Amino acid sequence: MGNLRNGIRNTRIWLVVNEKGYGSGFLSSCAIRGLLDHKDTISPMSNIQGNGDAQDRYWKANLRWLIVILGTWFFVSFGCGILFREWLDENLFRVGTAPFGFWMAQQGSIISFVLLLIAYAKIMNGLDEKFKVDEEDSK
Amino acid sequence: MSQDLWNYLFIGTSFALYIGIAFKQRAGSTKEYYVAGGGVSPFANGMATAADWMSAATFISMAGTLASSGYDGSRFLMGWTGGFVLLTVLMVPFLRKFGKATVPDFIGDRYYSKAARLVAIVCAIFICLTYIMGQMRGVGIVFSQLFGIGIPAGVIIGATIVFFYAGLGGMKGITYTQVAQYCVMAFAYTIPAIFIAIALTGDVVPQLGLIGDFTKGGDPTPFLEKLNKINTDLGFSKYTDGSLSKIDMFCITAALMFGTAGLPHVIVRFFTVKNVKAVRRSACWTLSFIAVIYLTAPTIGAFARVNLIGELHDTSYKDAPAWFQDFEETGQMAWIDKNGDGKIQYFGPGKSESGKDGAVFAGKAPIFAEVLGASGERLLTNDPVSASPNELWFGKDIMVMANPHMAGLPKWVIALLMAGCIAAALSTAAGLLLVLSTSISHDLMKKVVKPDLTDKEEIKWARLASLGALLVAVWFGINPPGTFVAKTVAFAFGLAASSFFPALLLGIFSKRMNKEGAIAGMVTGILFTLGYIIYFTYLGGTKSQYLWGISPEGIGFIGMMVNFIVSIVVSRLTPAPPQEIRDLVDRVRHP
Repeated sequence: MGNLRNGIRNTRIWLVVNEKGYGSGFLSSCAIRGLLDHKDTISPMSNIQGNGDAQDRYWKANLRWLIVILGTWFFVSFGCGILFREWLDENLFRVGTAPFGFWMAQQGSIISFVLLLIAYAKIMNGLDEKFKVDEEDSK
Repeated sequence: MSQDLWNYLFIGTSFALYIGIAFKQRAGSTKEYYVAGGGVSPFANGMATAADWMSAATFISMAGTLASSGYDGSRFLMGWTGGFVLLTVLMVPFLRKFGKATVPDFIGDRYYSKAARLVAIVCAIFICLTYIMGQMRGVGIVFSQLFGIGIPAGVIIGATIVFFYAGLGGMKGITYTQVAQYCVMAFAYTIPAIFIAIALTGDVVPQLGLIGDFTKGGDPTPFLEKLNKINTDLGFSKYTDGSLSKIDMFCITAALMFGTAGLPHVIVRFFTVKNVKAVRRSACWTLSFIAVIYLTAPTIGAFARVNLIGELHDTSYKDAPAWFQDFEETGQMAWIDKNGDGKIQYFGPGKSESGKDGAVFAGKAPIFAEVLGASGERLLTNDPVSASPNELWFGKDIMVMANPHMAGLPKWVIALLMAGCIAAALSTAAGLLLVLSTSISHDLMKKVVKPDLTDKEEIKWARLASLGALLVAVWFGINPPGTFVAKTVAFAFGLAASSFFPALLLGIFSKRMNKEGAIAGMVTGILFTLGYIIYFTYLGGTKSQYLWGISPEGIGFIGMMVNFIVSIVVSRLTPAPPQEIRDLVDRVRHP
């Protein structure tokens, strides 16, 4: 029972810490500080904060890429795996001995998702650099 | 060495490992607990998140669903992995910036309203409870197998262990325990698949076996064609076609995906990584680790089906392999000798008189009369369905566990699998229990009902809440609303999709969204979905009454659309949110 009490207390304290931000010293040394309380920390956007235009362009570029990524996401899963599966099974090449649509539904879509996240990480990190909104720059 | 001994050895060792790691990590300082992540690499964090993510439903039930329904099972594969993409791309970076780890906290602040927070808490409780039900069922199945007892007793034993395990508490926060759990799960899942792939297809890599040739005995034939032929010969639809309608398949997959993105207990993990770049890298690792298991599941499903039919169909009960009686003993397989020939026959709906219903007996689950039949089988009190020649019933959830038995794999592989199942179920169930108890004690009691709550009282509430939640989960684990684990869990995702996903998405991507819209949307979304699920699982709704042919599993997607429409319409008719909220949204949008 003592253990249980500890577990719950830990979670609770953790939530409290989250609310008060970087109240304790140990947290201030850690990089997540900036995330915990957006009101009092210098915003990582500070270098372009005064420039609403740059901020706007950053968000627009962000949205454009999101649409591309989610479009691909929809196409490989719902498109190939569900909507056009029968057609693909019959008309497209086989993967090994498996029909293409079926293979997309059970293997291909998952592989695509992994590749998609890798691309996402690369693109977004590039975007952050271009617009100089790197979190660590502000520290 | 006997099977039992192997089981205890593996499970004991894995538990000792988890507790050992947990203890070592705790020994440092309490403070380390919260920022453990500061120094955690994206690689290790990815592994831990993957362990958190994969529940008993994934581990135990998914391959069974794939085995019994072929292509239809793809909904879980695409739903859960695709949902992770949505979560990473649409939610994680923004909620992380916002700095609140629970959904009710975000919704309460973003929609500047106690009512919104309250609605979110109620939704969260419903969702977590439904999710834990599925986990408890999974835990029950493992323990019933381990001790050779019925599922109800297994659920109760499992619940007791989860209660104390959740009590070790820090468990969830301790990344390295979960790294160990992931490793156990990954080995437990892939090793049997490799053995079976070699036996059936001659390929070492199971994924290549699935798209390769079936080589066991006789000339090589394409594996999936062989499986399709087995299926159609017995009156099932083709393995690669399945039998769900396209719209139902679409809606269920969508509900699972959007639900995943609305179930953010995984988001917490991303707070422990250094910066947003590391978060993105960590997400790549997480999905890669998840993919290892998700790419293996379809192979296990397909292999298990070939083995199951090969070993049991047209085999006389007396010659049936020993494991069949073991599973009969725990009530997870049953046989009714309809034609009195002493042989087990397994047929699909295509062989029945109506051509649609391949049921063995009336009712959802077998009820055993404590009497043995002519061949020594356990007789049932259920009425046999005479319109169908099918004589074999099995619970879909046991497929993963039965698989190594069917393939005649060494005992230690089976023991490893048991340890893996327990790791999967415990890590998720314990984590959910903590989330649930804190959302009651902290979000609800402290933030809404009684702000002057003392620390002691709060802990008391948390303990009461986790006990209460567990009792509810045990009851539903014994009497599940769905016929198998993955289905029950799918309901949780449907509820999450219909309540949280729109509120979170609009909260980030629309500055115009206000509290009136969000509250109205969440309430109509979850009520609609919950009502539909309850009507069709408990109040006797029949398939012909389905809205556009969509089953309760998939209705969350429609609920989500309803939520979006209501939210947007209501928000346009009511005043815009105050300026500071718009500023808040602006801040959240930038890393």
